[in-house]
Amino acid sequence: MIMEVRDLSFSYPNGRKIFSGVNISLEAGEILTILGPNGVGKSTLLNCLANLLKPSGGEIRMDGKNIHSISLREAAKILGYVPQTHTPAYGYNVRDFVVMGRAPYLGMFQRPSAEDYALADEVMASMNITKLANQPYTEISGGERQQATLARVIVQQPKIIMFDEPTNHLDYGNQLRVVHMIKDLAKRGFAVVMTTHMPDHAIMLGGKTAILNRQGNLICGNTDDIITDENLQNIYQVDVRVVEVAEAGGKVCVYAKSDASV
Amino acid sequence: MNIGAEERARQLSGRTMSNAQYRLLLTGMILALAAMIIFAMCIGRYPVKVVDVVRVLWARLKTLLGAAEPAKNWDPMSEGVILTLRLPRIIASVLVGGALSLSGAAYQGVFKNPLVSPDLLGVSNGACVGAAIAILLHLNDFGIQALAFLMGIGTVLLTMSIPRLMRNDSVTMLVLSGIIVGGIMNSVMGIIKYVADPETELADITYWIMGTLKKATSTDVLMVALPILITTVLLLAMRWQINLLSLGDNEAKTLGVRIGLVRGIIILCSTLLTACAVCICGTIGWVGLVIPHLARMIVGPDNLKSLPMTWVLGSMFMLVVDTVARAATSLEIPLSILTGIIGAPFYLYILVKQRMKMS
Amino acid sequence: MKNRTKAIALILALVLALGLLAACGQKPQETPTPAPTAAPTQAPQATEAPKATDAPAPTEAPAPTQEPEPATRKVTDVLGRELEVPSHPQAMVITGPVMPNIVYALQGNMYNVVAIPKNGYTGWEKSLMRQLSPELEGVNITVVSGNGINMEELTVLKPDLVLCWDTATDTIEQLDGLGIPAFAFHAAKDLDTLADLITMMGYALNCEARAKELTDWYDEVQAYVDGKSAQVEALSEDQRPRVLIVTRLAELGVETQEVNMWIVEKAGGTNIILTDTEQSSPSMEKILEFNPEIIFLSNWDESSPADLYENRMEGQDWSQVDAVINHRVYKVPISLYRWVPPNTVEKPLFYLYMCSIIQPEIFAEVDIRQAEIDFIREYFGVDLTEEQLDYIFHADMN
Repeated sequence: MIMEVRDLSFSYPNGRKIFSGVNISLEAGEILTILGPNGVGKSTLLNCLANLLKPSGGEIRMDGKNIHSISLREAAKILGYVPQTHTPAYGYNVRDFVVMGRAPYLGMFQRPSAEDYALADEVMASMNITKLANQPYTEISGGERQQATLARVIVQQPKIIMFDEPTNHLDYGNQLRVVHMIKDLAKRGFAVVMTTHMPDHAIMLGGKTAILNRQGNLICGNTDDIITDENLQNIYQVDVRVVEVAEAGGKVCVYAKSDASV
Repeated sequence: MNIGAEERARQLSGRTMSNAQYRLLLTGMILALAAMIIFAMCIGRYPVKVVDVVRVLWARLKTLLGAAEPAKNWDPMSEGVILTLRLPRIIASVLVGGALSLSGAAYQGVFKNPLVSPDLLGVSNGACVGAAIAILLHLNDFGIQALAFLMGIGTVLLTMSIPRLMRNDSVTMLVLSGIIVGGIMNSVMGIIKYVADPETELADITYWIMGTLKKATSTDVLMVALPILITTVLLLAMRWQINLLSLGDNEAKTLGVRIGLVRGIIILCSTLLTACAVCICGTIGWVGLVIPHLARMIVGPDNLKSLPMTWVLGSMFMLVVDTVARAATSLEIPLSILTGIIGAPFYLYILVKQRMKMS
Repeated sequence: MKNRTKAIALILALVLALGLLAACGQKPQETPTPAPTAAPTQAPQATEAPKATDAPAPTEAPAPTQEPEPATRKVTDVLGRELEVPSHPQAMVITGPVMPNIVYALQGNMYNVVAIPKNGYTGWEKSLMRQLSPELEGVNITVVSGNGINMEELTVLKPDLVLCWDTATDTIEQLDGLGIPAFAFHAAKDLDTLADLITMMGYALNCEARAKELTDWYDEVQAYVDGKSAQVEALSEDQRPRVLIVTRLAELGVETQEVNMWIVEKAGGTNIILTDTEQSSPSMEKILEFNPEIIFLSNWDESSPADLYENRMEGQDWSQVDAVINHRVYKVPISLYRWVPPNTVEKPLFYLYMCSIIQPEIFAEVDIRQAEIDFIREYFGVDLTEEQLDYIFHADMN
């Protein structure tokens, strides 16, 4: 088990509860997709898992270690995080940006070595973004930026990679490409956790799915079991059906006639 | 394989400086700085021959290395002017320029904002107050420097303690704190100026604030050289961490950076640099703001390259400014006037160019 | 690439510019000679002073029967530094604006001064010194300015002695490095430290006898005033007039320095009590509350008693003030230097002046006009004309 979450809860200092009693378990090479309505706290949950927020209670174990009892550096060697958006202040070259992923392996007074740069080049090549190497990070497209960030995370050589709504700003085609990329990551042995608004992507990714509801409770299980008409209707408050479509080669989510034909 | 990839990439974009190019450029700059130092030694209101400069320096170097005192076949006053007046002052200007611009670059990285200057956390305001109090108390020159230094550091410590009290470690909180404390120092300054004797004390305070290196003596330089060099080396050693911090708190955390600690060390080093510089020369604006921009324009924003370049450029700039200040007219021109006249239009130029790029 | 080349070009241009400046600086320049080349050893008129003891300024060539005087002497300044100064300085630089008047009093002339601070020069222009020592006209006032000293310019003047305050440690260090003797003095804040300052200056300038005469005179005046102290202490509160010394009328700057407050007390007056924040500039209300009976206007500005009598000052209302109603507003005389600052050599005259105005019955013997005449005649051998006296005592204003 690469990630084990027990009884996790989070409330704001003013007492407002976001979620409680969250239990998750994940194996290496497994994908977990987290679904839920707007504003329910998916990002909060993800931030807790990514060690960016301190939960109010519960335990998170990654690679057998309690994430709160190890140093940030050790945590960064296990866990990589691809945020949704970036506001870069400086236009570093993509290459310099990607090599920053080596930070957990370098001391305070060290700089990346030739080997570190070589690793960055390798990762960029494997993602076909070598052509971006000397472009300022601020002058590439959103999609390219996401790729660069992912490259940086891979250079961290983590065991688990977390994505915060990775398909949000992408066009129809690029969304699919990201799904493929994530499946590829899983094949390479990374465990992946991501939040998304698209249940279809959860289906395509397979693995596990978790749903966070408005009461702050989480149900988690195999995607097939979790993605049901009823569950989806609970989340999105619309009439949704999960249908087997031959052309798609699997299940697909569609709006039911009653709601769809407006 | 990686060399091929890099070469290919560079050819495709043609915008980056390779490591080899950078090393060449930096070496060239350092040599240029050395040449400028020698030139500056020959400039001044007292007429000194270039030959004498070389002879005097060479003789002094030989004596330091143990040789006997050579025959002095030069104008005796020239030796005094070169070694007592010009040499300490030139070295001071190089140290001050490097220190101010380096700390400005560090601040700009750590606060993720290319528009901040080393005065963000109040070190200059605090140093002004310290110097003003010393002037009111009729302390001697050393007392003024000491008090300026202590108050500068003290002010930044105060600024950094407020976020801790509020339990909010974020950068925004720090910046707000700096604004508040800086404002308090300004008010205190107002009170001090009000009670100062307009004939003597107020004038002294005003001139101190405008900045000058005319009083730079060997003791002053020796006093600040060590702290400046140590903190410079420390900051340069940590310059890659500044890259990481400039990504943002959350991202740096996910990369395993202990942002509180690293930021704290960098801020402290930068503050010490600024305080050392300010205590011997008064407050000088624009250097910490503009020179880092210039360096980034030349070598790119990667602090691995831009920080050393910033130091060299800052030194060159301050050297030229101070030379003009002391030699252009028979009156000493305050330094911040010159840095303002040059720095402000240049900064405007940079901003216009950046806006055009960003839009 | 473009930005970078531009920037590099800029830097190369800077380096080149600096190099050119350096080259230009090598043009053969005339080393300027020190300003008072005219008769550095000229004997001034002051040698006719009636005092039989040592001549005030040892500028005459030594009498042939004496042994040739050594060119330098070893002295120790207030910081304990041992220096070698010229026995007869020929090119002095004075860095404190209040020092020139003391130097003049000690030497009787200013031929050997090559540079003084700019605001010392304005003091000279306004005072009697302009007429007594016209040789100071056109002296260098750019080397020492409000912004400090331009050391290289000072070196160009080739001075043989520099007078500075003991707080200017950096300046002293630089002068030591240049091999120019710098004598440090401690600024005075009361009569005793003033006497010390005069003694030290006399020591430094080799005019110790004259310094002793001056400090003896201080003692005389102090003894005279002390002789009246019993009477002064016997005065009741009502009999001690409330005294205000105004330094800057427009900003309501009020004198608060120790020595002048002390003089007012000894003269039988009452000082205004100010809180720390009111020190530099109390409000008009505070002044009205104090309601001074005698007001003195210093010479730091051009204000005159008429400004108060005619209530011309904007934002201020002096019409109800006692001193204005009774026409007891006086512009302080200016002789060698302003009388109010602590470091003026004629402080005893200010002392007597205050006594004679504040308690004229007790100090009936004081005729300040005569005292001034005597002082100038004794020390400088000059008989003041009525015109000059009227100028000194601001006859047009008082």
